[in-house]
Parts: sequence; C-alpha cells; structure tokens
Amino acid sequence: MAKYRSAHREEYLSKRKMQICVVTILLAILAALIVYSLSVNSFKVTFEESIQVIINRINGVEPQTYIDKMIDYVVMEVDMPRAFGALAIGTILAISGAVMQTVTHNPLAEPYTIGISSAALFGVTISIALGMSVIPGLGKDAAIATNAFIFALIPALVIVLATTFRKLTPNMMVLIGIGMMYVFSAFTTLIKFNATEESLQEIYIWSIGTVGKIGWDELVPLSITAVLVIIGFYILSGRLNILMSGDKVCQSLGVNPFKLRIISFVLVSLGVAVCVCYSGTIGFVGLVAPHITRLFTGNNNKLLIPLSAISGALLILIGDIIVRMLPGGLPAGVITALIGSPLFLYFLFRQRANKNF
Amino acid sequence: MGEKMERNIKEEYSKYTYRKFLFIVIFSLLVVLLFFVSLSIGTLKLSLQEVYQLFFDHIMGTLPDDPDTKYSDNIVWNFRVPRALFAIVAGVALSVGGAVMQSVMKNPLADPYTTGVSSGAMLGAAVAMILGFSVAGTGSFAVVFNALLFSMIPIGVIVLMAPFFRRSPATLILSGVAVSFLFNSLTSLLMVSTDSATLAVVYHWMVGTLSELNWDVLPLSTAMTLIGLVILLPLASKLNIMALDDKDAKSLGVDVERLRVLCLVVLGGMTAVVVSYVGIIGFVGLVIPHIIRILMGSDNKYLIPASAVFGAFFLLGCDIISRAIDIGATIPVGVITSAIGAPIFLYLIIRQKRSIW
Repeated sequence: MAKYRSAHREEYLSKRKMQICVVTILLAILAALIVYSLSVNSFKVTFEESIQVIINRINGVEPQTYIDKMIDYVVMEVDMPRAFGALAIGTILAISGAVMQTVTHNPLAEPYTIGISSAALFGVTISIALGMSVIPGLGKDAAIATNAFIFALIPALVIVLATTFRKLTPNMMVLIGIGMMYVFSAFTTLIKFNATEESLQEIYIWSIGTVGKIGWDELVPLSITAVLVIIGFYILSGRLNILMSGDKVCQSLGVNPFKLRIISFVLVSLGVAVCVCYSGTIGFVGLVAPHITRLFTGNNNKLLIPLSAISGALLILIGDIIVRMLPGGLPAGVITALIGSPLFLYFLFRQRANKNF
Repeated sequence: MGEKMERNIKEEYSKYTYRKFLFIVIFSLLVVLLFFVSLSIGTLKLSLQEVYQLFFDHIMGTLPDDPDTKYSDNIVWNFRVPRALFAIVAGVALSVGGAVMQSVMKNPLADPYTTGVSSGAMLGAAVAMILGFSVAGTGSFAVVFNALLFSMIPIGVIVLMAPFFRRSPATLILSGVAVSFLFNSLTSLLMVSTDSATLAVVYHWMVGTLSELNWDVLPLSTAMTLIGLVILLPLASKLNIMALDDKDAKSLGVDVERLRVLCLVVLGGMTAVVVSYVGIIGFVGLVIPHIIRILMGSDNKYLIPASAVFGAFFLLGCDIISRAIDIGATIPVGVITSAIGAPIFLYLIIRQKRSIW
C-alpha cells in the first residue's frame, strides 16, 4: 500500500515539476517578448537602443540629445505601457473565458457571452453617433470609455437581479445574456444604420479593438483589475473544479453553485468592462486561449486559469508585435485571430481523444 | 384497471400532439394571411381585397387591361410577391437550421451560422465589394456568387475534418468557430483598410435587409430550403435519440457521427444560400427555436416544423413592420426582429417552468 502511495506521489511530483517547468518557460518567453516589443515601432528604434534606455532609466541617466530624448519617449511612454496593456488585457480576457466556459458548461462560452460586448458597443455608439454620454461634461475619448464601462456592467446587473427572483440554471443565464445582446445590438444597428460614414468607421474600428491607445494612466486601473481577477479566480479555482461535476454534486460537497456562478459572473463582468473601455471589444482571445490551454492542461482550473492567462497574454502580445511590424496601423485583434485560428485548428486536429468537453 | 390507465395515457398523448399540431396549423394559416398583408403594404397602398384579386388574376393568367391596374399588378407581382416569398423561405431556412443545429450539437448557443457559413459569405461579399474581385459575374450578382462560393468553404472544411473529430460535437463546433474567426479577421483586415464609403456599403450588406429582391433570388433558395426540409424532417426521431449520450444513441442504432455531418452539410447549404442573397439576418436562427422549445418542448418531430412555420411568420411579420414604419430611412429587418423578439424571449425565459436543456 505504502509502495503504491509513493508511486502515485512520485508520479504527481514529477508531473508537478513538469508543470512548473512549462510555466517558467512560458513566463520567460513572455518576458522576452515584452522586452523585444519595446524595439518594434515605426520609429526604427533598435533593440540595443531600447535596452540602453531601460538601463539608463534604472541608473538615473537623463537622455541628453534630442534623438535620445525621442527614443526615451517612444520606448518608455508608448511601447512599454502598450506591452503591459497587452499583458493585462490578454490575462483578463483569457481567464474570464476559461471561467465562463467552466461556469456555463459550454465550450462556446466566452467573456462576452452574457452580452457585455454588445452592451458596451451600444454605449460607444450612442457616444460617437449621437454624442450622448452617461456622465456629462467629459472629453470625447473619456466619454466613450465611461459609456463603454457603464453599459458593459448592465448585463451582469440584470442577471443578478433575475437571480433574486428565482434560481437560474447556467443555460438560462446564457440565454438571458443572448436576449440582452440582441436588444442592445438591435438599437446599435438602428443608430449605425442612420449614422454618418465617418462615425460608422470609428465605431467599427472600436468594435475590433486595439491595445494601441493604452498609456501609463490607463495601465493603472487595468493592472489592478488584472491582479484582482487573477487572485480572485485562483482562490475560486478549487470550487470551480467542484462546479464542473454538476450542481447536485457541488451542493453535496458544500459549495453553493448558484452563488459561485453569480460571483464569477460579476467578477468577469467587472474585469471585462475595464478591458473593453480601454481597448474596445477584442475578440478571439477570450474564447480560444482557454481552449488551446485546455488541450494541454485538461480541465483542472487550478492549472487552467493561470496558464490561460499566460497564453492569452502571449496571443495578444504577439498579435500586437506583428501589427506594429506591418504598416497601416491594423488593430491587434485582427492579427491575433488571423494567426491564432489556424493554430487553434491545428491543435484541434492534432488532439484526437477529446476528453475536455 | 390496466386498460383504463392505457386509455388515459393514450388520451394524454393525443392531447399532447393535438395542441402542437394545432399550433403548426394556426401559424401556417397566419403565414398565408401575413403574405397578403405584406403584398398590400408599401408606398402604393392597396386594400387586402385588391391584392387578393390581383394575385389570383395573375396566377390565372387574366392580365389587367387598364393602365392603373397594370401598374399595381406590376408592383405587386414583380416586387412585393418575391420579397414576401423570400421572407418566408429565409424564415424557414434559418429557424429550421437553428433548431437542427442546436439539437445536433446539444448546445443552446449554436445557431445556423455556427458552422462558419455566415463569415464565409461575409468574406466573399467583402472581397467582391472592396477588392472588386469576383469568381464570376458582374454587379450585384458577383457579390452573391462570391458569397455563395466562400460560404461553402467552412462546410467543406467540416466535411473534410469530421473523420478526425469523431469523439465529440464540441470539437466539431470549435473547428467551425476557428474557421469563422479566420474569415472574420480577413474580413476585418479588408474593412479596416478601405475608405469609409465602401465600409458603409459592406456594413449595410452585413446587417441583412430584404429590400431590392426580385424573382431571380427565389428558385435556388426555395429549392435548397425544400431539399433541406425533405432531408431533415424524416430525421427528427433520430435527432431525438441523439439528445442522449453518443454511446447510448449508437446502441440504439443511430450512426451519430455520420448523422451529425449530414445535418451540418444540409443546414449549411440552406443557410448559405439565404445569407448570400440577403446578408446576415441574426436572431431568427438562434432565438426562434428557443421560443418554440420553451412553448412546446424539445421533441424534434414538432420542434422542426413548428420552428419553420413560426420562423416564417416572424420574419414576414418583422418585414411588414419594417416597411410600415416610415422614418425616412428604411429600417433593416434584422433590427426589427431583435427589437421585437428579444423582449419576448427574455420574458419567456424568466417565466419558463420546465427545463428545456
């Protein structure tokens, strides 16, 4: 008996070691990509120069010449917050996607499933096309961001209100989300149909999403949210594992599935609302990053959540790096989907025995 | 005693089927009624009786002599009749497609577009409109042809890959999702790089409207929809069995994998034709089957015909409303469908007692 136990223990430990190895390697790749991304921009800053800027900053050396000052500005004020922004947004979206898929028992679920994106888009549309703002007296960009944030929270609010009347099954929650999605998108379409071509283009570009507008000011709330989401769901991950075995089993193990679901929905909505208001609705990552991760980790949320975060961050960061190499200022969301979906198809194709859903 | 119970069960069963049967009959009659209402609405106002007279005179071959009647005959026969018929065909195709898709995939989030058909069509249309490239034809036909051709690609991918994804419907859905993301990102790439005027044109195509239809669109779409119905309706009882686990279904003699691929191809073909002609009309395919499920349960034998009839009724009704409301610009029918349908849907979900999934 003891022998068996130690054999299992050894297997577990070796698996654990392997997992830690993979996480470390992925984190190292992520860090390398962040540093590399500092030198990718239209100003032709070389890799050595960007490293030099960071070393100078650390040593407190002020840039002297005009060119040095410009390089310093580009690296520190444009590229760096953008890279960390990609990191934060990738993390939040991927974790939210993984949690939504777990909570609703549905492989098609994503962070926007409960209608967050179309609600936010509605807020942005009334701001751009009609000039309406929830909080009056803001500048144009600030008005768009606050509108997006406030409207993005409405679906979660409705679901929370609905649960006070009766206990909702996960499918009912998703269906309510779909219902709200259509209500919002109907009005958005109506407004867009009569909008000018310029505002239509502006709304369209917002809806694809970009990490290009993130500066240090935006990074503060973003990173706080990202940390909250990581910690929150890491704490909940054990309970989420229990939830996967069905509501009845979950209840008999002492976890309230309805409460857990609501907490997850609210946390996801908050996180995604913050993302959406700074970057627009970046698609793909929230749905696909958890699935790619799942193919390797299985459904254990303790592993799935942190690894999804890393893969989501990697996906957006790589997408953004490629976008910056190409001319024309394309949005990162497009490139992420463009390189990510063949990758996803390939992984799906490779993996024959599907045990995950 | 036993006989009595048997009689009771029989009575109950006949009552159960009777109500569903009645629902289908009533809504078929309503579709016919709405058809004539739809012919009478427009800039040229005609009474129901006049329209009825015109319609049957034309079918009987008695052509009007005086110029006034000739004019209204022309309008009714060449513009309103094809539009109304197409609304019926599209309503049937989309809602049957949605119902079957949800049953086959066992997923409440699935809709006829989940196969990636719509994103294929969208890319085809965007290529034709933005790059001016088409495989065949000129003008608006080029757009339709391109859309049709591109929408076949996702279906082809599913057919080719299906033998490798024998284990679960989830993998099949996800491969459809991956293909749609790929196509969507290519479309976004085109749309971001174009000027705002072309963007507006493409956007209006995407929203989906039933205006500007003529007789040319009917033969192919009607034929495809009829073929689809002929294939799918007899499969209803097998689809019911598929609601079980794949293993149980197999032991009851249903070749689950083959049935799934067959259904996907058939409904993909049905929706592809509709999408190529009128763009992406959302809502109907996803929500109409859900409404029917809430009203009369998930028995595919009744779900499919009832969805067909109710979908036709709903889309035709929405088209009538969109034409009756005159606010300067025509409202696309997709807006009306969601604006009217979504609140009803939300109400039904909250009210609903049994669990449908």
